[in-house]
Amino acid sequence: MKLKIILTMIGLLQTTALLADLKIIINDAEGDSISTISSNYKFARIDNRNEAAYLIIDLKSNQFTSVDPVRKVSLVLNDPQTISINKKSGISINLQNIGKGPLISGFDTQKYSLSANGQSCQTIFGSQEVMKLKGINEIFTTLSSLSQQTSHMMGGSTK
Amino acid sequence: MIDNCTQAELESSDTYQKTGAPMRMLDNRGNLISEVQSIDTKANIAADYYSIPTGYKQSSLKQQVQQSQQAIQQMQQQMPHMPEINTMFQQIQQQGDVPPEVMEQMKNLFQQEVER
Repeated sequence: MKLKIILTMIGLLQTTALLADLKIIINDAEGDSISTISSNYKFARIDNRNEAAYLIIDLKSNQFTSVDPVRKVSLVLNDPQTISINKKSGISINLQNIGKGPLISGFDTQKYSLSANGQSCQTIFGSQEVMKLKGINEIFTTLSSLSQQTSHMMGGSTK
Repeated sequence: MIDNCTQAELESSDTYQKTGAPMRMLDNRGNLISEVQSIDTKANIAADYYSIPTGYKQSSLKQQVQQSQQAIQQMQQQMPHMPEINTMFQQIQQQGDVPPEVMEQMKNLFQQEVER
């Protein structure tokens, strides 16, 4: 669940090209804010509710660093120098557009269904309107790289 | 090790370029995982909000993995019978019970390790 939320949040970082900072608040099912993403377009920071630790992302080098103010430690989570392995697990992934979605936070959305080996995994309401804004590709390159490294580190699929 | 759906989400991270930014996500039962409450493009945040405070101990996951591997190697060198014990544990896991002769061997090996 936490990983899903982080992936969602990172995907939302590319919302605008304005010089002012960007701040996105994500809610959970109860309507409570669970995470805040902030970005000045050079760095991004992700804070999660009830956690002192936060994540700093260098958007130029694609480096992710976890910062724990309680223990006063920082931990670099990925190696930006590592060439992406791009090794797939072999599972069959299907992403299907199933029509128009509602207006969410003022943005038009489309509804998508994500499945793996025929098993329904999740429904995504995505906004191309948000994606058209400047800086999106850098963020997705970073996201994709981290996801692939995470996938490789975690050893791939088990079933 | 992760399940198929988590694996799919990791591998399909680049498909956000097709779907657009994920504004709302539901699980396979239709329950809400997360939703964007607001997007503020004119926020005013101090620059040091994005920096790692000075004086913090810095490390990396790569370093920690290497240190763990070194610790395991040292432990294996200090316990020469460890491979045999591991094989026995694998047999136990596969068979579901412990044959008496295997149990006796394990006792002997553990005793030897303790005496070392």
